[in-house]
Amino acid sequence: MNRTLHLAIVVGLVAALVGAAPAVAPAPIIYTRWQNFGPREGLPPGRVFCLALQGHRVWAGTENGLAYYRHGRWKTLTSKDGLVQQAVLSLAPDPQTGDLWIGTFGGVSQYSGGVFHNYTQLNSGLVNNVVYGIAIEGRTLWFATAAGVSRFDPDTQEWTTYTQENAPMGDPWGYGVTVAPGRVLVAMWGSGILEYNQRGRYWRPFTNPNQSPEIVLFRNQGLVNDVVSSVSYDRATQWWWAGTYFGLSGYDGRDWHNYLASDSGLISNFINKVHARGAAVWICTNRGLNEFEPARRRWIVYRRQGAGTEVELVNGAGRVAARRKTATAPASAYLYDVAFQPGRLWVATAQGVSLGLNPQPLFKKEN
Amino acid sequence: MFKRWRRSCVLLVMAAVGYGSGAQGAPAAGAPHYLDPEAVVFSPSGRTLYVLCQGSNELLALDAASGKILRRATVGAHPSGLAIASGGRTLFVSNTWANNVSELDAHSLGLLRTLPTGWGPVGLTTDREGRHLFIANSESNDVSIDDLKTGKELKRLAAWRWPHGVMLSRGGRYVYVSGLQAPLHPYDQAPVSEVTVIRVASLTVARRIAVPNAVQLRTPAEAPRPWPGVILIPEIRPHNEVPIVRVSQGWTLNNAMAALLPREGTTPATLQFPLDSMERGFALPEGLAFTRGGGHILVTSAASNRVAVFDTRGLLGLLGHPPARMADRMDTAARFEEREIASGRDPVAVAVAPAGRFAVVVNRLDDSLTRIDLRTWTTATIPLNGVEAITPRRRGQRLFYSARFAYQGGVACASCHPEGDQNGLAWDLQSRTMGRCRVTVRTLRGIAGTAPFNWNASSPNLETQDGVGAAAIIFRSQGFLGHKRELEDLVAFVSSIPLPPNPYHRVGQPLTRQQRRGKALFDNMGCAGCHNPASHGTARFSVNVGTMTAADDNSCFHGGRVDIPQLEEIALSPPYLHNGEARSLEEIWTKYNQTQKHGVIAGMSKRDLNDLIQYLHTF
Repeated sequence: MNRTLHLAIVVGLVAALVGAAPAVAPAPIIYTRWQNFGPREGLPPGRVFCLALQGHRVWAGTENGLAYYRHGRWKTLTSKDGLVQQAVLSLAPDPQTGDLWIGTFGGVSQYSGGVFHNYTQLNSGLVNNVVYGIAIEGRTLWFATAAGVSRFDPDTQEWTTYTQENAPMGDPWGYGVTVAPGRVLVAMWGSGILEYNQRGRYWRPFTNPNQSPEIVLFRNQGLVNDVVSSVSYDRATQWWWAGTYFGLSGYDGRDWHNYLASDSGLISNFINKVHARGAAVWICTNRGLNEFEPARRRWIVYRRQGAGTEVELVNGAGRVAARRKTATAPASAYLYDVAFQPGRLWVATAQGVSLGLNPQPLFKKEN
Repeated sequence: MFKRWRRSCVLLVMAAVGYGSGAQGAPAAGAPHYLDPEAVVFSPSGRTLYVLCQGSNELLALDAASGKILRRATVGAHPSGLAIASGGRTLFVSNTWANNVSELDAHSLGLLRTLPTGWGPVGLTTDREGRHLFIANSESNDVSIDDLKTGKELKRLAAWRWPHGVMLSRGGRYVYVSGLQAPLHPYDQAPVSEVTVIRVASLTVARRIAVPNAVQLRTPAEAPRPWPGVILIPEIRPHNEVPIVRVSQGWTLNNAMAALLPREGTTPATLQFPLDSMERGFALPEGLAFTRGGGHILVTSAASNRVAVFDTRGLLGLLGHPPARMADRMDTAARFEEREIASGRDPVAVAVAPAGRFAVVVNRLDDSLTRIDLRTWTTATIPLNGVEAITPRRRGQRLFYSARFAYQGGVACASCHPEGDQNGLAWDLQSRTMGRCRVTVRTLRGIAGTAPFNWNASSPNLETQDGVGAAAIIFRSQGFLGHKRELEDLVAFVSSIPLPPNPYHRVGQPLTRQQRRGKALFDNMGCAGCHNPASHGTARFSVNVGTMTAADDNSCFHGGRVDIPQLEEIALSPPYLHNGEARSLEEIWTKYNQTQKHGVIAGMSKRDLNDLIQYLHTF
């Protein structure tokens, strides 16, 4: 009996060990060639704050208008064409209607059938003209603005305003907004993440428990910092990702996972945008681009080196496991946004739009 | 208190209109039961004629040959649009005041199901395959797309403003939606209306075609071969951007037609031409149909009780080589008009039988049809067996939709007040001001009990307003002067134009939390001192709320005082303020209340303002 039991335990342990042995992970795919677009290609000069894809059309929100890419050239729509204001901060294509919603420094434009329809804080219920983020939830629109959050129902033309008066925000500066099942997540500059529960119609704040902007006393006990610039929801893993000016936070529904440049592959703590996609999160910072796969604890770092790019694979311990250099680089290391097409990575930079091409494995095999 | 007021208001309107229920729109017991036929379609075989009756909330099936009524069915409140689909097996009726569509079996007229829509559904069509139903929502300013398999609303596409007519293109690739009002624009400029083009394959807006200087775009119709893609739309071209005393020929409005001409790979070109002639107006052009084979175009003039017959080749040939300033030339229509045919009163729609031998015109205010033999051009009247007794209100309704009293028959009351509402335009009407004192057209819905009238409160009653004022300023004629009975009839009708059900707040329903907060603000700010909820949201005095501009003449507005407009249906009737410079309710306070005379809003948050506006929507 005892011998049988021991044998079973040994067999079980062996089986468990074999099962737990690390599988060979596929080599990460990186973009090895960069094509840059600026005024010569038709883009207006200056920064590009945001990108959006609508079918085959690529939209870029720039400091000086709304640009779109067509047949190798960019064309720009400005306030002369009806855009509410030149500086475009956020874009949200509506998959249902085909309309494009555009957040600017001067209000919101709805671009539909080639015509702009504008909403401002003066002519509508929009709480503020500076619209950093837009999210579409069914037929309802959410706007993160510099003075609170607006919810708009186009069917009834009803606006609802959320500010310090009726939501748990210390500072009403909304920087980004995204939709998750049953909830809306708002990135607040100084007030952490606000979660709006659709069914209960109440807000719940997620903030940094340390209450300190720069010191992380308890690494994974909450949001890494309250100065949140961006929030993104990953449908594959059901994680949220929050980009702050002082690090990266991921929330798996129960626990927080915080990452700093000092002890991970994060290229910079100053994050402009996070974009969750297929169990990975892409991170746009002031020093370059990251792709992070939390399941594999694997970071890809795109760092500009002269005219080229140094791409690194960094493991969970912060150790560089592989490195490759490419001859071209994005137009600037200061990045604002990313957008994906098959085999293509569009990047919004401080000096125009860059297009990542020629995806290849970083190396042949990773062990 | 509010509920009591709302209820009493509705009862007053119902009593005035003679309707048993504002929500149902059914005639009260003992009240005349006018049918008010509004729309007509033929069965594919041409043997059956379906007539939609807005006044009685009915759909009639007639034998097309004899005119005999075969069946009738009750549909929803205030039906407006009618479409036939599935090879003639199914009918769709839009119930404007019920915010839904009735799907009926075309043979039995039995109700198959009720489909969801936005607010105020009017025109509608299906795609060729019968998979989707496209419905223009006049109040929510959008187009519902319903999935006919599931019976659910798939999506809504924005359509600015008051989308009305809906047409499936001949090839089935696009749905065209025309608007009765233009998108909101600067008050001293000409309106630019819109035709919304929906791509059927993707169910998205393909383009928005601008129709400059036009309002009241009616249902489009596409020309047959050899002119595929050419689309004609009856319209009205207002001259509101110039002082009315400067308008040449006395026409304040041109009754006209827009033609959309296809261009390869880009937005169609828009040509416009008047249907008025030098001597006679073509007031309220509404119904339009091509004859089978496309040789002729039938267009109804609802306010002059006639149908014009145009030679298609002549008209479309002219569009290929348009003469200079065609849009302003009053001899244009004479080049292609072959004949005119007298109809009954208020011919609002026309349809051609599939075999092409005859057409049917809907005479809304006669409760009848006119059958036109398209070979001999002779006519016969088909009565729909409505009520024969004509009340003063009915006589007044006929006058409201008639250009009989206007100079050269160019305009009717409904030219500026479509369906008793307003057209969204501001006008300089006064001869002595010349370019100043612009004022908006105000809705006539629910106007009873809101005296005085005019933005400067100069008309103490509707008799004055519709008599002297209308004659001298609008009609450029003697108007109703010397026609006392007609004036009384008109007033009887105007004072009984009903308010449609308020989509923001159903009678008997409690206010939402946001609306309650807005009501508290309304009460605390003292808004009720002028906008008394117990009196339609108005009061019998005028007041200076600091809205005068440099363009306003003190002789028009004594001491800067303006009439206090009623608040009922205010959510659906922009623009606001006397000159229409506020294009939304928000702008009344965010842009045009610098002096704080129109409510002290210092310290009010944006959230407070939103709540206040949500409450105003409930009026």
